[in-house]
Amino acid sequence: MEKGILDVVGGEIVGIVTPVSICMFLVVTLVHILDPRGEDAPVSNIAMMVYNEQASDSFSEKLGGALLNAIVFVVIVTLVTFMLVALFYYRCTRCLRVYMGISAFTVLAWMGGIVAVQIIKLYSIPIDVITFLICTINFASVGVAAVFFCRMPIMVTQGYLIVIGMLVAFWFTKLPEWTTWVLLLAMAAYDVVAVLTPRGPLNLLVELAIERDEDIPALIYEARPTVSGRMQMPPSPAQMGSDAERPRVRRWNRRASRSSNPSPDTELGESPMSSGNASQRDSTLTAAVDDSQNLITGPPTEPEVGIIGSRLISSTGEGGALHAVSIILHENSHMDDDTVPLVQQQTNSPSSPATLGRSEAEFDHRSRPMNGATQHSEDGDEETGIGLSGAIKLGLGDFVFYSVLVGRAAMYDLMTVYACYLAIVAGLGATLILLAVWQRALPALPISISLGVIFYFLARLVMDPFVLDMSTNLVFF
Amino acid sequence: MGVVVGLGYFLIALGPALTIFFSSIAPKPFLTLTVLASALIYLVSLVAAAIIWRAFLPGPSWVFLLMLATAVFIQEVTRIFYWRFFLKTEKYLNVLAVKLSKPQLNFVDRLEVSFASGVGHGVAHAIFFGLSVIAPAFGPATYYTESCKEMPFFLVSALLTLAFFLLHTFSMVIAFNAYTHGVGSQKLFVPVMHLGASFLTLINLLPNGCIVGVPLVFLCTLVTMVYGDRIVWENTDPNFLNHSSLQSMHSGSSL
Repeated sequence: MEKGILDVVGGEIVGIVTPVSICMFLVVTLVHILDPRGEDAPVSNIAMMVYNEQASDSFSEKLGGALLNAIVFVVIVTLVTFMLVALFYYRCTRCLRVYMGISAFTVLAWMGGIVAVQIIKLYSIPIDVITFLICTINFASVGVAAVFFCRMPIMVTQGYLIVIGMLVAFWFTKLPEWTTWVLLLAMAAYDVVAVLTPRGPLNLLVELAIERDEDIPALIYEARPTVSGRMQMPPSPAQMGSDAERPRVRRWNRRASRSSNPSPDTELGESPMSSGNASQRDSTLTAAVDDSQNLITGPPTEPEVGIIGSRLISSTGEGGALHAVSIILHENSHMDDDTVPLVQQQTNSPSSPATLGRSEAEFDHRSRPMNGATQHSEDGDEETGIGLSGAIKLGLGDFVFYSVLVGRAAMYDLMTVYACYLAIVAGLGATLILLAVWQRALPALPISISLGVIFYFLARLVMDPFVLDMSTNLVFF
Repeated sequence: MGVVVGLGYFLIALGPALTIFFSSIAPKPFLTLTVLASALIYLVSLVAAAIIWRAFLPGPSWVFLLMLATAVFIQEVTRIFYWRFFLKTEKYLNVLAVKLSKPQLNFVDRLEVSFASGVGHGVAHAIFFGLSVIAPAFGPATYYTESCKEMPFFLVSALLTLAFFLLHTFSMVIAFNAYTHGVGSQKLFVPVMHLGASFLTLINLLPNGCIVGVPLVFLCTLVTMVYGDRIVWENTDPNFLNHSSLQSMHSGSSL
């Protein structure tokens, strides 16, 4: 039977939601096993350098202290991000590459080792020190190679990225409660500012990367990479013993960015959209050609591809992370006879131009004239990402923050975990829709984090007593 | 009693859900998104109900009657909104289908989407009501309530969760069908059954009530499942297709 629309739509979104869910699930499991009530003494952290929260402090003290912590953290992150942008600008690829390799190795070996030791202690697994060391070092080395340097089966790379995100997120759940929440909100705000303002570090980085047509240097999770060239995610940050890195990267729409610089569309008398098409077509065509060459030849000829700079690095672990959402259209699938495969035809109503563009990019030119009169742009569902043929990339830092939120919720109850999970996935879907509509780099954090925080407090304060009251009395509805 | 028993309770409550998910829903990514969307909507309705009643908790037992009535009412209203939302989405999907030169959504797709929505509701219900209580079962002890001394509390909870999961799943199928064809009695079937099942759980408050309550809830679930089954057969029976209901389906009739 012919495949219907339901089989096709939404594949990319599920491809991104699944690893996010897996990462969150792993963090929740770890939290549940190792630290169910959040009672572990927080290891000193860069995020706590100003104020160390005690349970006995008053409400205002805690809030004030948490705010200070968050502000200091955000400032450090901003500084480090700017430093990274500078390094990227001056093309110090060597030092960035080395740094990122070291930081990833530290995350996997050191933090992974600590978590492994805790699990071994908990379950009394018989293992000796030498075996453990060998295993850990091997694991970490393969991880660094998989993520940065070599081309490995995609599952291995994706698996290691998830593990890195999980370890960093687990580390961050060790922060005291108030600091965690305020920090999450502060990072969401920072993300919006850094990505959307013209002078923001992440924005600068994305523009630099676009100009040079290089991959963004950072740890990026790619849902469906097609060519090895893209697999070299430049990496990320980190290290430093006391804190974790949060490699985050942003997704950006290369195509749209290119086409966002065309000459003003005053030539054609029609709607601005269609006139923009002409210039867009040229720019996108060149982009397509460039990209295809990039893809086909792969990294060896382009030493800078993929390893440019280490974006997200910070001695404290934050490093600038790009949190935007981007979609890279893959030309591979259209190499055959489509000469202009990825033109975004935005001839119609502004209602849902991006989706139109995408779906056309997906297939044929024939569909162009059918651009619909009857679009409902606000059918906001996660389906708007559908027409994409390209992989969706999400920065690892986004993974980390989502998992931190959910991990912190896990310290209260399973109900809050699920509520936050649904809120985050809904936020992610909304961000994808916005991405389809706005066609530019977007921060992936703010909507999800704010929805997650709102639902956490709603669930904890309002829903929990209500539902527990009923379910402990075996009254369901 | 350990991880084994905890896992057992979990599978009792969500075993069918997992099977359904991995066999019917996971292969089609759109249905996975539907599950997530309908779970979110269920959560929103639950939060709305909780906000209203939070101030009155904990209260005397008769408050439960009112709470249940309002909560079920809110959920049914949410179901109507969800149906409207589905109609809009369907139009959009059809446009996309035309562009991608794929067939438009037909009745089987609608059944699948309604099924997935039901699973979303059911799973959300299962997790909020059932699983959050099962968590202690993974530990070393068990628990019996006053009113139900025969079976461990966790077992009763898991069984009820299973019943309600199936109830929610098939209610959605019936509801979508009812709104599609505009059959009045069918439209009423779902809210009435939902209300009936939740009032039946009130029997659990009485001493030894769960012996009577749980089988009755399962009876409600069985009736819903049989009715849903009949609807699916009706929809896929070739004779049925020739009737005028087909046109009403395509016109996307609403409430």
